[in-house]
This record gives sequence, C-alpha cells and structure tokens, in this order.
Amino acid sequence: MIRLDKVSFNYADGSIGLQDLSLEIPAGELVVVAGPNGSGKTTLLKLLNGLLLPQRGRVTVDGICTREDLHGVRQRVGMVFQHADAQIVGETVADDVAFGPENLLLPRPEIDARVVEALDSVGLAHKKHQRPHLLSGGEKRRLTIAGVLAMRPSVVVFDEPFSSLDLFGVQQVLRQILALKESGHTLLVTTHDLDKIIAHADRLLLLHEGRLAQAGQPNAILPIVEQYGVREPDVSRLGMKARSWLN
Amino acid sequence: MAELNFFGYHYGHSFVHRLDVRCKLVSLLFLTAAVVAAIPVAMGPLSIGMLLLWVALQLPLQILGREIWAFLTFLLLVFIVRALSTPGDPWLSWGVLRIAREGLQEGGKVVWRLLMILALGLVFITTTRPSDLKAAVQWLLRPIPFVPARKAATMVGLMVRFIPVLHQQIGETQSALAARSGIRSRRSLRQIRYLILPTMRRVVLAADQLSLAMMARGYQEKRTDPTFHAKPADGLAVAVTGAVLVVTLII
Repeated sequence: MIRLDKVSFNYADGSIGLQDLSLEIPAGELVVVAGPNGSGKTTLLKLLNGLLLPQRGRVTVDGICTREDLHGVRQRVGMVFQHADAQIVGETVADDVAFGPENLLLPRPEIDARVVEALDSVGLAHKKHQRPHLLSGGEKRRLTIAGVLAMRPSVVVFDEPFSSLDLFGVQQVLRQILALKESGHTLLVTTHDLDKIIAHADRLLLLHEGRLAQAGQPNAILPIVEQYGVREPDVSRLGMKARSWLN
Repeated sequence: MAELNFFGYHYGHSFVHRLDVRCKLVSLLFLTAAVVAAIPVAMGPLSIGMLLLWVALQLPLQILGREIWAFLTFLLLVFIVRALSTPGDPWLSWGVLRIAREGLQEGGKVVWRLLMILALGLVFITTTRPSDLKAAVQWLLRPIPFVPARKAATMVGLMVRFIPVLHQQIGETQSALAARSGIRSRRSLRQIRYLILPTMRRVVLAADQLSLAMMARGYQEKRTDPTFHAKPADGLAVAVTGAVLVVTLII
C-alpha cells in the first residue's frame, strides 16, 4: 500500500513539483499516471523511491515513511528510469543486475541466485555475459527492470517506459509490466502516450501543474484527458473500448 | 558504435581467461618488470614468448594492430626524442640536428619495450572480465590506508561501463554537426571546438542521472565484497612468471 498525505515539493529554481497531493494506492494495482511535461509525474515517482523527500506532507510505502527509513523504502520501491542507458551501471548484463543486491549486502550465493532469477524473468539469461551497450533498446529497458527485480521490491515505478521504443520493444516491456502485475506487484507507470498501456490499467491519474486533476477508472476519465494536455487514445475518440498493444 | 576495444573483454575459456584475477595481476607485474629490466639478448626470448602467448590465446590480431596504430604517434615521438637526444657516433647531421647510431639503437629498444608492455596489458584486458578487474582494484587498494578501495573499484567499474556510451555520444554529436554544418573531417579544429561543449554537457547530465539511478538502487559504499577462487594453477602461473623475472634479472 502506497500512501501520500498532502505532499508538496518545489524545486530549487522555484518550479513546482507537486502541490498538496493526497493519494492511496492499494497493493497489486496498476496505476497509469499521465500529464503534460512539468506536471509532476517524475517528481511523484522520485518521491515514492525516496530520491526526493517531501517538503511538506508524508509518503509511506507498506507503512514505512520515506523520511524515516530511506534504505527500506528503496528496497521496496524499484524505479525504472526513462533513459535506460543512464540507469545501467554494470559492465556486463549480470553485473548490472547484481548491483542492487550487492547494495543490500546479501551473501554472494544469494546474489548469484537473484541474478539468474531476475534475468530469467525478463528473458535475458542468455545474454548475461553481454556488455549492456550492445543490447537493443527493448533489451536495455528489460535489463533495467531485471536490475530492479533483483532487489525484490513490492512496488515498481516506471518513468515513460515506452519512450523511444519500436513496436516490438513496446510489446516486450508491456509483457514484462503485465507479468509483474500478475505476480502481485504494485505498479505505477507514467506516460504521455496512454494508447500503449491504458487497456491494462486499473486506475488513471491525471496530473496538471503539480496537482492531482483527475483520478479514477480509465474509461470514465479518457474522454476528458485532452483538457489536461494529454492526447485521448484513438479508440476512445471513436467510442470504442481500449485495446491492448499485445493483440 | 560499440566497437571500442579499450578495456574490451573477449569472452573465452583459455588458461589465462581462467586465472584468478589477483594471480593474473601479479603475473602481469612480474612480466612487465622483466620487460623493463631485460637486456636486448633477453628481449628476444621474451618477445617470442609474448607472440606464442598471443597465438595460444587466439586473440584477434586486429586488436593488436588497432591499438598499436593508436599508440604509434606516441611511439614515434619517443623514438625521435631518443634518437635526437642520445649522444654518440653521428649517423646523420642536418644543421643543428644530429642523430647518433646509439640514439637509433636506444630509441628502438625503448619502443620495443613499450610495445611489449602494451601487448601484455592488452592480454590482461582482453582476458579479464570487467567485474574481475574491478575486484582486483579493490583487492589491490584494500591494504593501503586512507584509500577508499570500494569506492575506487566502483569508479573503475563505471569508467569501463561508460567509455562506450561516451564514444557513442561523441559519434552522435559528430554526425549532428556534420549534418548541420557540413564539416566532414572528423579531426577538423572547427569540429573539435563545436564538439567539446555539447559533449561535456551530455556527460554532466549523464553523470547526474547515473548518480540518481545508483541511489534509487540503494547504493552505499559498504557493499557485498567480490569473491576470489584461487586454484593450484594460479600459483603455478605466479611461480613461472616470477621465475622469468628472476632469470631476466640474473642475465
């Protein structure tokens, strides 16, 4: 369970991150967070992972406050960044996945087991000796997911996971997200492009200028998303039900 | 984009690939010391040994060729300085410049030694997994007081990881420059001038994102240490290379 109580965060240059945001996300939900640039999507994810601490209000994950146990929160909330290249720190695929468990001070056999498990789950086990910069865009994104999964988080947050990916790459990442949902993870996905994920979302949040503008069932909110600078999916414009990109 | 060979590990199963990284590092130090100390008579057998090692490892000869090509300007400079600065029997005089036969011999010997050291370093780099290299740095620095061995090892790992990314980014900026300004020469001064600022900006931004990504995955200085698995063959490698050094010193 994720809980935000009247959370506010402003950046040093005066720009607004989030204003008085209150929110509850039950375990196991797939929540899509949409909004134009600068609406606070990435700020929200960073607050959940403890990369930013709220200037006002409180963020708790599974009852743990980000102010009180940063390490515990980062273990529970895995964050997949928009730019995979900036997130991959290992010299090989396996080394990168081992980075998180090494920070948890786990014994080496446990780390090795987690690396195998995480790479298996994203279908990259056969590339464990590969150097990361030789992977395709979709594979890099999956590697960043494996790096997060090896820490066994209960929540995974994705910042624009489909940006710069071709159809095949989008489908690979989407399958991974759905597999995580299937295994009981709580998921937050930020996107400009609702079309690719909305068919699978339990809830849609619309952020606008750092405030929660709308929250609820996707089908109820989709017709008004363009008021908030987000393009309405074509199927919704045509009055049809959202369709999965996997079909 | 990713064809950069510096720090390029080549996956393999040779005996050198399988050596414990600590023993491999000590062996490298012994052989390097032997090359530095060897008299010209001993350089012959050492060079033959180096060639045989290269062939036995089945490493692509292109690696040696490419790295030597990059290193060639430096070697040429070393040779010229040695040739001009060593006194002796004049071989060629041109104005104030005088090249002695001893200078040519001295320059040749220095270049030969540097080439051997380069080849040894390439053997180490191409047969050592980057994570083992990082572990070796940590192991080597651990006994030194006030040196943060874990942090230094992480830095080495990140450097190995990000050199290809940097190379790729420079390539992209070069292409963008060529597309907009028509500067075709990759080494023109104009292009270098326009290349530096955008590249630096991207590097700083990437470093910022990287530090965030590391924090997001709970990075802390105290982390699980690397493990080593030394075998009898590793001790044998150290003994053999140590013997080579001793024999070279005796000769």
